[in-house]
Amino acid sequence: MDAFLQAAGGLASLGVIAAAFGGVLWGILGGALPGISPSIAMALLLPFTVGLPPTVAIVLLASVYVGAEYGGSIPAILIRTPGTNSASATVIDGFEMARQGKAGDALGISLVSGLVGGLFGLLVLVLATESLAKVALAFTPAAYFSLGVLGLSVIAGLSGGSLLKGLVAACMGLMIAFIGSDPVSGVSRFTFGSPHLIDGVKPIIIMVGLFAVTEMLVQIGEPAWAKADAATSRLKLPDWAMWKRLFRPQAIGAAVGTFEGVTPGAGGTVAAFMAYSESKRWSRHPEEYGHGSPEGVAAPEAANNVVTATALVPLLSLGIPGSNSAAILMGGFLIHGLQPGPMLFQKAPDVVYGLYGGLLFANIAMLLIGLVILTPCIWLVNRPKPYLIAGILALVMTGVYALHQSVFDLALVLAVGVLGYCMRLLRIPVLPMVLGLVLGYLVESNYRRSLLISGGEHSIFLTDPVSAGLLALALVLTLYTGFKEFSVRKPKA
Amino acid sequence: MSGIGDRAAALVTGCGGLVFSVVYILAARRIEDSLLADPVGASGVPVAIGGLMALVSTVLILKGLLPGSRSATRDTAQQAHASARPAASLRTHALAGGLLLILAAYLIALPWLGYVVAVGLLAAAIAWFAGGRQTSVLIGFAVVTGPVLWLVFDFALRVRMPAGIWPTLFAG
Repeated sequence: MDAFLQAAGGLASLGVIAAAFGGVLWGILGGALPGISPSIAMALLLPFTVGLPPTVAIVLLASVYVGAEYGGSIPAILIRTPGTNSASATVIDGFEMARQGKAGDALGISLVSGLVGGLFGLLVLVLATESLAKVALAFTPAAYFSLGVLGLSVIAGLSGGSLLKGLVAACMGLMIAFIGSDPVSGVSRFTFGSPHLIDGVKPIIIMVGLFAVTEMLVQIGEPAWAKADAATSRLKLPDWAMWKRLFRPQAIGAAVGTFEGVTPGAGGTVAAFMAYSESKRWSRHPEEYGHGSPEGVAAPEAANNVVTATALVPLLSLGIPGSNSAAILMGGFLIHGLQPGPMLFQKAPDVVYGLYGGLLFANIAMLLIGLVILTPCIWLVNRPKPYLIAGILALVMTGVYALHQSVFDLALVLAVGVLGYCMRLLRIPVLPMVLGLVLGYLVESNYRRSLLISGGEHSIFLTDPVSAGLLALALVLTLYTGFKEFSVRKPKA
Repeated sequence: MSGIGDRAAALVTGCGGLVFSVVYILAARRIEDSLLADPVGASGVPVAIGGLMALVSTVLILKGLLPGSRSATRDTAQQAHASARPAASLRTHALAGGLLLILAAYLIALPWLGYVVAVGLLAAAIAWFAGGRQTSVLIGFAVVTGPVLWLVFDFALRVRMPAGIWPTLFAG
């Protein structure tokens, strides 16, 4: 109840409301552009949040995520090109509805299902996060180390089918995290005499490079996407009969999205496809799926919007980012000197509750903006791609320079962009690298503090009950994901 | 973006990772410990991570060299597909490389030309390189982008952007 009251308090802030509306607007526009995923839309905005109050900055970033999930469904329905990965499942029936002259109905179903999913996800977030964080408050340095190991153990799930490459990427992330002053003795490591590296490499630069710059390097070689027809696209909200029909797929989407959201590595895309599949299985009209079924739009849209909130549960309670977007949001916290995890509720409760309130507003904003944004989105989707790429890169280079007024940062972000391009070419997943980067300090500093306390005895990690429990959980998770990977790779006889 | 075959990707990743991890371990071992050092030391964890990366990279190399794996089968298909249209793949990388050169030129030009001129030129150059061919639109795009971004960052957000050589020229 306290959480709800404090969240209600957060609603009073004009800055939070403005951030929610602005973030959703940016997110919808970004999501509507094929190739700009929610995490890229968030990464583009990340440098701009530096001067903002922490709560406003975090709400802005989280609202981009909410908006982008709806935005992604617009080109999915209109031009059969998902604006975001998680909108891929929406293409199946959404575009079929558009071909039957029901694009407006499909967009309306997508919007209201997203709203239902978003609000349900927010409820889960508020109820689950603080309880989990309270348990984590009893943590010692040994337990924090094991928590970091637990975070790293999800790498297998984030590796996109290649555990070994995921491990290489995670090692690279950890190596970048070690650049700068040593957390215990303060000596410089891997700075090569450069004063720019003494404070380490800021995660924001790595994230903007890996997500935004890499994507533009890839997009310049990709063909232009199709054009949307503004004349036949008018958004139409569902009537009561349609609402009744949508209840079941939305409920399935909400349930699947909750489970997939709190599981690190699963994310909105898996949730959307699972929800589509399950709603078809439980539908009274499964034969309509694939031929323009409204339920086929509602289930994935509800699911991927639930994930926008539930993916924040492991981030806020344990400090583990389980998706690209959660990692970018974590970057937003770190920029403001806030470490997501159990202590966040003690150190910055206003930010957490402000985020809850902001997410509520973001979902309302999604409905209001969604009703009027379609025309600008169609205009944006139809802009010539060369100017979009140029505009985005001008914005990225300006935003990165604005961080420290440093040309060195610009060179670094380009270098990381090239690294990301090579990783894409070699199919090395980037998320484990981000995970290594953001968890590196937590793991190393607490490992060494624990050994200082125990006089060098590694048994401290097993004698501390919380630490032992987390390590056991990490082992189970590693074995489970490893087993899944092995069983998928093993050809069936 | 068309990538390379699974086995080749594993080999390249493994070899690159192995070389990098060896260099990294050597660099880590050169870190000097201070008097405040703990039993692990400033180089302890980096050396361990470097060792882990070397191990994983070695396994990747072995995986890339072993014949008959699923990746090998997929690799053959992908190689056949890749060889069917190598020009497209090469063109993609050339475009990415060209874009990178434009961005690198921006880094060099920024302190000299100042933010407004440099970012305007950057926007126009990228748009032209990506296929924008209408000269009037390109000029308009450059003329609008620079001042608009300058107004947002320098004027509204009070982030001081480089002025370039212009103040010195006009002051003289």
